[in-house]
Amino acid sequence: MPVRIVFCEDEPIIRKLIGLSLRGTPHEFRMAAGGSEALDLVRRWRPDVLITDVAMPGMDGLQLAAAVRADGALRNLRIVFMTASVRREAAQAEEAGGRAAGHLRKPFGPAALRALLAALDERG
Amino acid sequence: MSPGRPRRRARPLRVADDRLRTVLDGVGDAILIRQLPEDVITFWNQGAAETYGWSASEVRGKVAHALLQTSFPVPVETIMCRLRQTGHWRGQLRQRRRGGMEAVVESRWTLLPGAVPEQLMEVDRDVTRPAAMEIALREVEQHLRSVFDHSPLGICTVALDGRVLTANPTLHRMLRMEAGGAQTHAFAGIVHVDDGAAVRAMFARTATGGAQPVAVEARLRRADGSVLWARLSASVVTDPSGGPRFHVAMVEDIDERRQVDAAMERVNARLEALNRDKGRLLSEVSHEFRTALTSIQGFSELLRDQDLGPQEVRELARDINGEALRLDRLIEDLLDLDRMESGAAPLHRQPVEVNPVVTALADRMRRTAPDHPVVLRLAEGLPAIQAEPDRLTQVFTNLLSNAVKYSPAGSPIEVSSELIGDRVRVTVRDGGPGIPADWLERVFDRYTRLERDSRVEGTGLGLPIVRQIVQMHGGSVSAENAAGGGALITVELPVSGGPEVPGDAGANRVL
Repeated sequence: MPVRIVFCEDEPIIRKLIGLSLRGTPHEFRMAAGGSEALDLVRRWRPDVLITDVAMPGMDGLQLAAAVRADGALRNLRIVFMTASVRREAAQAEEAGGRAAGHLRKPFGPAALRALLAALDERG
Repeated sequence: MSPGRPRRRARPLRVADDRLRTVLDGVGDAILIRQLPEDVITFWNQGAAETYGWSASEVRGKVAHALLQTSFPVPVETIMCRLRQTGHWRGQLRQRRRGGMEAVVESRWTLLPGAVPEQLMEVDRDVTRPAAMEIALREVEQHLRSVFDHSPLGICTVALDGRVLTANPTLHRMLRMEAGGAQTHAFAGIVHVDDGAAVRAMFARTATGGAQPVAVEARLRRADGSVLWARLSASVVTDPSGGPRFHVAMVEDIDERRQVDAAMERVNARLEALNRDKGRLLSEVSHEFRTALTSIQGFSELLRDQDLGPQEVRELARDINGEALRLDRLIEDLLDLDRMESGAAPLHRQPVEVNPVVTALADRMRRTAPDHPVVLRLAEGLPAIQAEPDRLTQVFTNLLSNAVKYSPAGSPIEVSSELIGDRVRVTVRDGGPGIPADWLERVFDRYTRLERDSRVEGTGLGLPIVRQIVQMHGGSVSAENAAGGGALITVELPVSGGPEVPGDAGANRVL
């Protein structure tokens, strides 16, 4: 089963890595470079999973997650945080609060990303 | 009680008469008759026996002052002299009872008229107990007085209407007043006007709140007009019916403590700021590292695990290399900034012409970023400024590369120079979207990159380094949005070079 994913990541080089890592997989994905762009995208495109960076300029990952949670139409959207540096703790707190379906710790490689998606697919 | 009539023929008083003896024994006072000049006891009544402990038969014929170990308040010759002039003497004596206990007596001496040899009658009233109490009271008073005088605390009593009744020497010293000077004041007169209400409230609470002392920290005004921080605590003294009589106030000099507190607060604030900075630096650097490492780890994993075409292999290798170089630049910039802030990289100044530096950089920019036209508007005849050439180049390199990063391809970057008074002003204007208003003040701060647009490459330390270098040269730098769009950075450098200042040295220093 392909998974439909929106990635939210402000670093272009990481977006490039994600794109290359998922090349040849059945998954469908789209990219957003910031929180508000991602929120628009998930509302329009209705993916299964939102995988978002935490520390970003403008609307950050935690604010994005809160906005998603506040939107009843998005209650089936699963959220995964990608975290670098010390903000990981904040994301873990968020995760503990429920709703976070997984956690991707930077640095990660293509194998880790594919494994995460496979796990999400199985849980479907 | 006079035992003989005046002018009566002199002979020893014979107290053989039982009735007279009974009368004299019935008197509570001690009565004894001493025969001079040997001071031999010839009569000793019951009162004397009770006062001194010996019976009449035991003392008769004994030398009185030897038996009683009399100590006189004045030389005995003076007493005898007075006695012979007036026939009487009275005063307080200290004598010994049987067993050695002291007796203090009010003694009245009368020379018996006409007696040969001379005889004097001594009537002693025992006042021993009241005298002891008086001494004890005096001792207590002296004790309290010495506590009052030598207390390290200022102490005063204050009337219910606010007048100072008494004040100890310590309080006078604290207030730099002459002895007794405080008594001429209302207490409110020595309190700093801003703390008057708090002190009035303290006395008011004391007067109504019972014996519990009430304390307040307040500024006092010294006689010379200077200000002293003091801790005041007041309580109230009541009369037997419980009504307030006056206040007692203790005054502790806490000037030094206040100063130490203030210094500690400053040090703490400084340490907290440093700690925050350290935390932000750590957070920023680890974020940059994790991002770079994600690319390096991810791309190298792709290279290892997937069969990629030679073109793609080369591209990923270039990305990996670029990220490694970026980390290297980040470390280099952090260390450079720290060296400058700590004063470890002093300037080596010489006369430098600004226009050729800017022109050379613009030429290089046109080669490396051909999509970004650079327009120069340089004033002619600018004086050379005192600067370190390499640092000046670093300033304009950072400003130009920043402008390139934020400008869309094709939109021109303008660089101008002019002389304003004794300063050379250089402005760099980009063709980008400008800087959000709330960011204008902060673009030169460190640790702001996380919240900035990270689509732009770089370490995020370019502008902080620019500010540091410009400030070291005695100049200034500011950011604004140009009227016609784009961000405008203005650098002003004094021609003379000005004094070398370490800029924000210390303020942001954490490494």
